[in-house]
Amino acid sequence: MNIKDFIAPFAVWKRAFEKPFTVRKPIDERPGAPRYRGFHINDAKACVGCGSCEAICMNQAIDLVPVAGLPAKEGDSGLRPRVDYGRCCWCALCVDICPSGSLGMSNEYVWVDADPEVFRYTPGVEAKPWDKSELGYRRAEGYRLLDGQRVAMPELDHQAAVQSFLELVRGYSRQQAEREADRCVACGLCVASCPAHMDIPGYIKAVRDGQLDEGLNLLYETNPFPEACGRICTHRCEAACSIGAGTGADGEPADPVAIRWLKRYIADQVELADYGRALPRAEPDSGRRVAVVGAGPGGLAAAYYLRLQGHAVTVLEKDEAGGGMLRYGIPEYRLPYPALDKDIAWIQSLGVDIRYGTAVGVDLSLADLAASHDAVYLSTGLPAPYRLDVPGDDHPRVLDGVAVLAAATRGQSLGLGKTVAVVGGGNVAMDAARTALRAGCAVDILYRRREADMPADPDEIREAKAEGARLVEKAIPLEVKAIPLEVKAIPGDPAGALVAWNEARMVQKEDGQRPVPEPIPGAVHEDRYDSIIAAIGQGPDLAFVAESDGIEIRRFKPVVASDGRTSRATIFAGGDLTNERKDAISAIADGHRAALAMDRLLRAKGN
Amino acid sequence: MKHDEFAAALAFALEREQAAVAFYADLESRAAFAAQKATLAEFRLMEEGHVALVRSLQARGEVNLSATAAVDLGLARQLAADEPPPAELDFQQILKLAIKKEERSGDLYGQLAAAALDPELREIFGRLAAEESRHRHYFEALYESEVARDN
Amino acid sequence: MSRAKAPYIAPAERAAPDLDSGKYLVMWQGPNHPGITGNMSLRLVIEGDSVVDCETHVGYLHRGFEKLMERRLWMQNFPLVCRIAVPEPDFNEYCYAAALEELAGIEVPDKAVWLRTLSLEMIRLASFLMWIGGQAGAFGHGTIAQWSVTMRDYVLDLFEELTGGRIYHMYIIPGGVRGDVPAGFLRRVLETMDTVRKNLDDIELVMFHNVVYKMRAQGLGYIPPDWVDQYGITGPNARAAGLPRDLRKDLGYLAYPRLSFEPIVGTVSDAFERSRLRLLEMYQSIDLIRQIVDMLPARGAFRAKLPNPLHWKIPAGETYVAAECTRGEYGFYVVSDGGDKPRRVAVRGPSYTHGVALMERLARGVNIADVAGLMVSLHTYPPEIER
Ligand SMILES: Cc1cc2nc3c(=O)[nH]c(=O)nc-3n(C[C@H](O)[C@H](O)[C@H](O)COP(=O)(O)OP(=O)(O)OC[C@H]3O[C@@H](n4cnc5c(N)ncnc54)[C@H](O)[C@@H]3O)c2cc1C
Ligand code: SF4
Ligand code: SF4
Repeated sequence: MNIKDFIAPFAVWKRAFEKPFTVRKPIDERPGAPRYRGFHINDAKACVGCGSCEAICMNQAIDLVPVAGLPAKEGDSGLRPRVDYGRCCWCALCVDICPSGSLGMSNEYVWVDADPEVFRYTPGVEAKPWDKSELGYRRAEGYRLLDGQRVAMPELDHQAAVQSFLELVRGYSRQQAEREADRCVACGLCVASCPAHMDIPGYIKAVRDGQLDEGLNLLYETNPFPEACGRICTHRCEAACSIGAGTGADGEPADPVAIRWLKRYIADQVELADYGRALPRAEPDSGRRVAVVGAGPGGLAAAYYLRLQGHAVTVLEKDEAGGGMLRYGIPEYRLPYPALDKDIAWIQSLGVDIRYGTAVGVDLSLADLAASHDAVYLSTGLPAPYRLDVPGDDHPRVLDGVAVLAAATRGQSLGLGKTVAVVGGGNVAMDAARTALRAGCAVDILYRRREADMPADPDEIREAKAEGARLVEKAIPLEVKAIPLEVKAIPGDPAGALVAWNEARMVQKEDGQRPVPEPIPGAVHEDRYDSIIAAIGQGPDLAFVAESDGIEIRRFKPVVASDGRTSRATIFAGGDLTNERKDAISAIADGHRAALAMDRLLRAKGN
Repeated sequence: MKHDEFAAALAFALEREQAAVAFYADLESRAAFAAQKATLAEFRLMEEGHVALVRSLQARGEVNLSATAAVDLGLARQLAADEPPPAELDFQQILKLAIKKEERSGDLYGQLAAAALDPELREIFGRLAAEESRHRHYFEALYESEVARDN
Repeated sequence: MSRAKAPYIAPAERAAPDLDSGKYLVMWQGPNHPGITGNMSLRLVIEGDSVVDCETHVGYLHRGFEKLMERRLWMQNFPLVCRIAVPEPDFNEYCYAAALEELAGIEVPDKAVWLRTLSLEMIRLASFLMWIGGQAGAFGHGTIAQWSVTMRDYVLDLFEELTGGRIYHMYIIPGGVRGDVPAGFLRRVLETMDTVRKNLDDIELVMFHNVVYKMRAQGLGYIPPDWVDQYGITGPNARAAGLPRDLRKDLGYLAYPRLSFEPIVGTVSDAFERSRLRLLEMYQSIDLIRQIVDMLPARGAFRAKLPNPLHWKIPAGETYVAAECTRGEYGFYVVSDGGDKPRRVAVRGPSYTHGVALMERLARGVNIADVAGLMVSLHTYPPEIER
C-alpha cells in the first residue's frame, strides 16, 4: 500500500462533468444499424409462397397462410409467411434462404402494444410502419444459403451437333445429378404446375439419396414415359420452380432446378431389365376389354394405367411403330429412339397389345371397335398439317414440317436441296429447321412476329440459331411462286421456288391481346429457296368418326369432360386431339385421368 | 331517307344472310364426317342468328347496331382464295371460307355505303359493314388461336 | 492428459459441520444474486462471518440445448448455439461452425478467417468489460461497472453494425461469415478501441490503485499451480497461476498464428492477480484488434459454397474443436452419424470446472462478504455450465 492507493480512486470525480452516455428516450431516438435484424418485411408480390422460410425456421415462428386477394397460380402457392414474434429469435435464416429474395428485415425494433395477439402478422400483407424501410437486414452481396446456379449439363458443341443426329444433351453423371438435386427445397410449386402432377420433390429426393428404384417408382405413378419426358418435356415445372424465382449470389437470375434432367437421370440409370424390381405389375385380369386408338404418349399412357388395373388393352396404331409425334415428329438428336423404345417396351411388357399398321376408319371402323370393347380411348393427336394458305402453297417445293420430320425418322432421303425456308415459330418449325441444318442445308426461319412472341421453347430457338439457322422476324409470307423459266433453265439447278414475303411491324391493335403483325406497304421481298417447309400448325383428322358414333364434336374436337369422357359414355378422348397445351406431358396426364375414369366405369358396369 | 329505301336496304341484308345460311346448309349436306358437319352447323346457326337480327331491325324500324368496326387482323387479305371440295374440308378451310365470306359481305356494304347519296342510308350500310367486320374478326381470331398457333 | 493427473477429490476432505449444534447458519446465495453472475446457487454454511462449507447448486438454467441440437438440422443449430453463453456467444458460433467444417471437409475463405478472428477478439473485449464491472461491483465499486458496461455497449454497437444484432450476433455461420464489413466500419473500430483504451486507463487507476480493492482482493481465492491440472483450470485462472497456457497460441487456430502476441502470465494466483491479468488481456485484445484491422484482406469471398441447408448431410465422424474464450478453453464435441442432424453435441464451458468444484474448494474459510468477489474472480457464466 502506498499513498497513491488512497488518492487515486478519487479520480472518478472527473467523470461527473462529462456528458452522459445514455440515450434519453423518447427525446432521442436511436435507430437500429443499417443491418439490424428487426421486424420482417416481405414483398408480397415477389414472394412465391414456397415456404422455405417456414422450413428453415428452427423456432417454427413462421406459418404459411392464405391471403385474401392472392389466389394461387402457377409458380405461386398464394400463401405468405406469417411471423410469430413470440417465437422468432431474429436469426434471419429465413431471409438468407428465401429463393425469391422477397423477405427482409427492417431496422425497427420497438413495438409496444397491450394486445399480445398483434405480434403475429403477415409482413407485406398487413401494413406496418416499417414496410418501406430501406434499412435493416438483407442478404449480403454474394451470400446465399441456396445455390442459384444449375449444374451445367454436358452438351455437344454446336459445330459438332449439326454434323449428325447424335443426342445433344449428354445427361448428368451421378455426382452432377446429386448436386443438382440438392438445390431443391421441396416446396412443391412444381407439382401444382405439372399437368400430370408428378411427385417432383419426391423423385428429386430419391436422386439425392441415391434411391433410384424408388425414384423410378415415383415417376411411373404418374408418367410411364420418363425417358422421353426426361428429354423433351416442355417442363412447365421449371418455370414454376421457386429456386428460379430470384437472383443468385452473382446477381444473375437464378436457374430453376433442372427437374427434367433429373427425371431423365433416374430413368437412364435403371436398366430396363431392372424395371421389374421397382415397378408394379398388372392386377389380375378383370375380364374387361379396352381399345385405344393411337399409340402416341397419350394413348399408351392410358393403356399402361388401364393394364395395371387388369384390363385387357389393345392399341390400334396406323404407323409402323409407337410413340406418335414423339417418334415421327421430334428428331432423334433430342429424343433418341432407344430411349423412347425403352418406355414403350416397359408398357408392352405388362401385356399391352399394340397392333401396328392398323388405321381406324380405314382398316376397321370406330363403330366396330366400340362394339367389340367395353370402352374406347381416342388419342389420335393432330396428324393433319395446316397449309400456309397463301397463293401458290400447292407448289411442289412447299413441304409440310411434320412430314419432313417423319421422313427423317424413317431414314428416307429428305431431298431438301441447299437452301430452305422454314415458315413458323413453334417447336415443329425449330425441329424442322435443325433437321434441315443436319441435312446440310442453309436455313432461314420466317416468322410473322418477333422472336419474343415465338411459341417455341426459348432453348430451342437459341440452339437453332447457334447451329446456324437465320431467324427472319416479322416476315409475312404472301405468295409462293414458280421460278420463271429463264432462270430455271440453268442446267443442274435444282427446282426451287420463290417466296414473296412482306416485312411487318407489330401493332398493338387490341388491349390485352398480343400485337398483330401489319405489313409495311411496299416492303415486299422475294427470296429463292430450294424447299419451303410450312410449320404453322397441325390439326386433327377426325374423318374416322361418323355422326352415328354419337360423339359430340365442336370445332373439330370431341367435346370431353375433365376426365376425358365424350358424350358417349364408353368413349373417351384426350391428348393433342382435345387439350389446349398440345404437349407430351398433357397427353400423358389426359391418358392417366381417362384411364382412372374408365376403370371406374368398367368396374361399375356390373359383374 | 324514304321509307322504301330503308326497307329495301334491310331486305337486301336479309337476303344476304339467308344466302349465307343456305351456303352452310348446302356444305353441311355434303359433309363427309361428323366433325365437318358439326362445325358447319355451328356456323350456320350463327348466320341464322344474323337473319334474326336483321328481322328485328326491320320490325323496329331502325338500325341500332354499333358503328365501330372490329380490328382487322389482316388474315382475310392474306389467305388464298381457292375453295376446296366440301368432302375434304378441314377446320382450316372451313374457317377460311367463313372469313372470306364475311369479308366479302363487309366489302359489299362498304361499297353500298360509299355509293349511297342519302346520309342516313350511308349510315345504315356503314353500320351493317361494321357488323360484318365483327363477324370477320371473330373468325380471324379463331383462326389465329386454333390454326395458326405456331405462325 | 491422463486421468491420474486429475485425482478424485474425496468428499471426506470436506468439513462435515454439525448443523444441529446451533453454531452454524445455512445461507443460500442465489439463484438470484448479483454476485453469482447468473442463475445458480451457493449453499453456504457459515460460522460467524466465515464460510465453513460451500455447495454449488445448478439446475436453474437448464435449457437442454445439446439435446435440442439433435433434433435440428445442422444449419438450424447455428442460431441456437450462441445462446449457450449469453455474454460471449461468438465462441459457440465459431466452435460449432469449425467442427462442422472439419467434419464436412469445408475450406473457409481467408477473408472469413480474419473476420472470425476479429469478431472473437471484439467479443473477448466486450465480455471482459462486463466482467470487470461485476468484479468491481462485488467489492462495492459500482461506478466502475457503469463505465465498463458503457464501453461494452460501444463494442456492441460495432457488433450491431457488423452483424445486425447486439447480443446474439449469429455472424459466424458454417462456411464462413454472413457478410463483409460495412463501409467505414474498420475506422469506427479503431475509434472505439481508442475510447475503450482511455477508459481502461481510468479503470486501472481507480481500481488497481485502490486500497479497498487491494485489501479485499489480494490473497483471496489463492489457486496453487498444482491445482490447475487437478481441476482442469484453463484461461486467465491458469495463467494467473503462472502457466503460460493460451489456446490461441497452443492450437494456433484462425488467424492467430499470423498475429503477434504472447500469453500474459501472472505469479500470485489470487483474485487480485487474476483481475489484473484480465485487465492486461483487454489491452492485449485492443492490440490484436488493431493488428487484425491492419491485416484484414480488402477483397475476397467471405463464405464457402455449402450444400442446401435443408438437406445438408455431414459424413459420419466426430471431432472436438476448442478455442480460447475469456474464461479459458471453450469447446464443442460434435458427432455425426452421416445424417442431416447432429447425433450428439457436447459443449465444454470452462465455467463448469471453475464455478462448481473449484468454487466449492476455494470458498471455505472465506469471509461471507467476499464470496461474491471470489466467485466473480473465477469469471463464471452459469448458462454454459448447464447448456
Ligand atoms: C415436331 C414436333 C415436336 C414436338 N416437340 C415436343 C416437345 O419437345 N415436347 C413436348 O412435350 N411435346 C412436343 N411435341 C408435341 C407432342 O409430340 C405431342 O403433344 C404428343 O405426342 C401428343 O400425344 P398424343 O398421344 O395426343 O398424340 P400423338 O403423339 O400425335 O399420337 C397419335 C397417334 O395416333 C395415331 N393415329 C392417328 N390417327 C389414327 C387412326 N385413325 N388410327 C390409328 N392410329 C391413328 C398416330 O399415328 C399417332 O401414332 C412435338 C410435336 C411435334 C410434331
Ligand atoms: S418466397 Fe421467400 S418469403 Fe416467400 S414463402 Fe418463399 S422463402 Fe418465404
Ligand atoms: S428470423 Fe429466424 S426465428 Fe425469426 S422467423 Fe426468421 S428464421 Fe424464424
